[in-house]
Amino acid sequence: MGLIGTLTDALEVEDRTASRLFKSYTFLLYIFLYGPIFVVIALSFTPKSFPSFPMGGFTLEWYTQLLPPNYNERIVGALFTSIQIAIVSAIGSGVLGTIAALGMVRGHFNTRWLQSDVLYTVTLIPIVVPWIVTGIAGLTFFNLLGIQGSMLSVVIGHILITLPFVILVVSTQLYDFDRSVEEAAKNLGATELRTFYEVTLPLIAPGVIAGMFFAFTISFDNFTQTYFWTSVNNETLPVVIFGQIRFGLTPTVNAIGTVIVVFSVFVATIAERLSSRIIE
Amino acid sequence: MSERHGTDADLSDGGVSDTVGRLLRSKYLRVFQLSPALLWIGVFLLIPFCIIILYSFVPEAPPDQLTSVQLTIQNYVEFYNSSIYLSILLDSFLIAVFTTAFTLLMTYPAAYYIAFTDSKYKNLLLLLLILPFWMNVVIRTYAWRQIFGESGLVNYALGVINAGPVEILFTMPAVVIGLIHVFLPFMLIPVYSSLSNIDRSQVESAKNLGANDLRAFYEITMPQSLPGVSAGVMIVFVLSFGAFVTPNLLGGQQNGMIANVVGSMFLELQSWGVGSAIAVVFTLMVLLLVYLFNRFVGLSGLYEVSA
Amino acid sequence: MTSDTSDVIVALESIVKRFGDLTAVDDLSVQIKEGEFFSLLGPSGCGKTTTLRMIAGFETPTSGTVRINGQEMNDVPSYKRDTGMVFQGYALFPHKTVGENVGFGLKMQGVPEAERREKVSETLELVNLPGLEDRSPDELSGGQQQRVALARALAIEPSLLLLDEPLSNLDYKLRKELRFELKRIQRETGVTTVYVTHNQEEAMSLSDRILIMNDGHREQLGSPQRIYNRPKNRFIADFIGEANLFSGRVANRGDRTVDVELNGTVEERLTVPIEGTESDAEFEGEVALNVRPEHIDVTDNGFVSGEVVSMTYLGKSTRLLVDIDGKEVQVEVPNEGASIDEQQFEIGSTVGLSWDAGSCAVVPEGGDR
Repeated sequence: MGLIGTLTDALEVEDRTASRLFKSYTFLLYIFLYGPIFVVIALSFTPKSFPSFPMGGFTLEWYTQLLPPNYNERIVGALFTSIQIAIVSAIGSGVLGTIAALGMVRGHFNTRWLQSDVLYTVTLIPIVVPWIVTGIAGLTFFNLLGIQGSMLSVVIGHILITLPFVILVVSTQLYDFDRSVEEAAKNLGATELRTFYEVTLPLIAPGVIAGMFFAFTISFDNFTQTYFWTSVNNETLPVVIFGQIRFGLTPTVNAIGTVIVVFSVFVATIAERLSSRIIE
Repeated sequence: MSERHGTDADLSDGGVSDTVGRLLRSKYLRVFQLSPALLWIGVFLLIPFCIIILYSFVPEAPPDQLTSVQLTIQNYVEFYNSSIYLSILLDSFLIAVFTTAFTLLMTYPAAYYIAFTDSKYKNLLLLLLILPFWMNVVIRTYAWRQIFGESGLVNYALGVINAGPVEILFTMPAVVIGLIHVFLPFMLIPVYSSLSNIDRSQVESAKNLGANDLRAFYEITMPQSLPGVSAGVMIVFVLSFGAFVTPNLLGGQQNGMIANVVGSMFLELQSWGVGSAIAVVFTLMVLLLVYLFNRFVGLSGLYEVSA
Repeated sequence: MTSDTSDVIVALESIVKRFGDLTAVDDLSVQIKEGEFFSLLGPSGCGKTTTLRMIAGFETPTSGTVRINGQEMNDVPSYKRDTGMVFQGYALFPHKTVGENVGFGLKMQGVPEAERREKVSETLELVNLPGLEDRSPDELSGGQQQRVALARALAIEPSLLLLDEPLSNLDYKLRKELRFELKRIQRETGVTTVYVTHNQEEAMSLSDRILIMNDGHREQLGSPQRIYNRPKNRFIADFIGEANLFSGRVANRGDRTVDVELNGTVEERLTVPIEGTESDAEFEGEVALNVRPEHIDVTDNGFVSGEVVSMTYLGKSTRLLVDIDGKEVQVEVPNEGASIDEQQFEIGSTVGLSWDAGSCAVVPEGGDR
């Protein structure tokens, strides 16, 4: 029977017990994952000026820092900066990524250098490179170009980081695309461009939009790389939060944190829904 | 036969739309479509990295003039001679190993459960497990400060049962726990993906032939989950080795990781030369480890597992 | 090839198509005449779909010329060709309504909306789907979707209608129904039609002429009757209908007939007509005779005899499998006059088979060709 056989025999556990064990374990894991988030949310309502336990009450005062009349300029400014950058980045990588996905999925690459696998790996590079490296590499490059710290440099960098996600999402959907509708359109007199506009684009739109929503979220939430690219003049929200944490710990951070977590989750959920409806 | 309103005998060439049409039919179309994205990655990541390599040989980077640079290995010598930096590099490696190992152990059972459950909440469970992926890393790490801090949740709970306060914040375990929390979804997605692609009837067939649950898992399920596992291990290891935020916020001065060192070189200390040298060494280490890992375990899973 | 080319709509001249090492179509030449229903028939992988796609403009021949209406089309993209195509999976635009689908080709031609709408409703009536303009394709049944695909191709009144196995996704009954519709529509509109299928029953019932392809080659071109009764070789004899091949030797060769000595149980010499045949057989030496099951009679004095191995009652006829010297011969006997409960034949009994010399065809002995 062998060692494995004896071991597995000895460790045999009843079906129902095993299933219960798994369920409870998974439940515990969820607590591990979401517990900290709830701590942040909970402490955003503490009246104490330093978020700690016990909470000692309930107040919304830290949230008012985000609304007029007495809103924290720095924070709200950073919020708008983040949103602007995220929108532009999402559009940029949406366009570049979709076109690239079309080329990647529909091309026949068999030459030595231009192989499907290689291409796929190359597009994944920005995700797999350690974030610090991307950050400092960008920093030195932008410095050389004289655009260090500018909004432009942040957008360029964010497009870089979000590109792989868009390519991934769109190309997954493209693999299942039945091209005979395109042939039918051409047969009926539509040129390549017209076919793309009338048939291809409407049908890949959900995937492209999902990719852009993902790109938005990633850009909005990004910290490590962005930390090296922003300057005092155009801080993004995560950078401001980081600064606040280091220098003055008030529950304001919890309040902003709660807001952006909820916001990001909202956007990401829409994107997940969009892309899973396609996968179906 | 009817006239096609102008397209009947109009087979000759001419006009913009014809040129566009011919461009779109050319066999170079795919290359054109790929170029912008590939160029973007090349210009904004690969070239900058080359600059880093260059700067690692320049003692006072960034240089005022590119033309008047003298290349030395002074930065590397400085790095090699400093015992702190080397030990931080080693510590970072160990932290990454621990983080990856624990993350895998913690993720696998949950991924398994969700992949094989018939519960109608399956999709919801999956979504919930992936959502943290989309939450800001700063906030997620910050949360642990409020749990581990002097007056954080842990000490509060201990206080309730009259146990002494513990100092967890700014220790290595705090960093590891924080990293596990941050990178869990990165491990979960590939592992789950692998597991869910396994044909359940294979497992049933094994059981039919006499294997008990555990044996069937060992013989059938586990081997087929390896592509996802190796992809997850690779991603989490590389990312945690180069972690920046979490060691910064949870580790304090004493427990920074190599990324923090590099970061401070570039920001506070303005020693871009040494910083570049360290970054190069770090990157080489990562590439070597990835190569070795691929050699012995294989990365085919990375392709099957995306999205 | 006829010298009168005025009514030739499609001419394929020595077409070759290679995909890397694979030769999908090998030196194919054929002319399709105006108004005819022309089928490309053959087993999977024989190159029929590739040929159709070359006519449509989705594939470019490796060598040879494609002509439509006399004009060379090799470099002309599909949207400039006057063809309307129905795809195997219908390829309806899921994000457009039925009306928008059918009117798409007209929209591409710049036909104004009012005129388009009229034409669309006309065409939908032609295919028996009146009033469905505003529906979405996914609301329709398979048969309805197929008809929308057909309407879409017909709405532009093309010189050439191309169909790529359009009925293969439908169940048997629907297929027969739509086959009938298709024939009616073709007759009514008179459009030249090229139809690709691997189903020989379909090809036989729909076509004016059939081109049988195998392995990229042209095997035989002719009317259904011609192909059925005078198959060129064993492959075709077997592919269309069922083949029963009996070996024999040519004794005498004339202009319009050939005398074949059958290697049967009884010495029998048959005078087989060869007029109008394209047979690959050289009319000397060893040959094979093909006889269709329904042309074989069961008699007491047959050319050959053997044991009844199986019997299948099919309602209007009975099918027998008779073992002649180790070879299985299929015989179809009509059931007229037989009493209701009585079985005409007994399994295991010995029967004799004979047939009219006029209903056999001479094919080469041996091998597939």
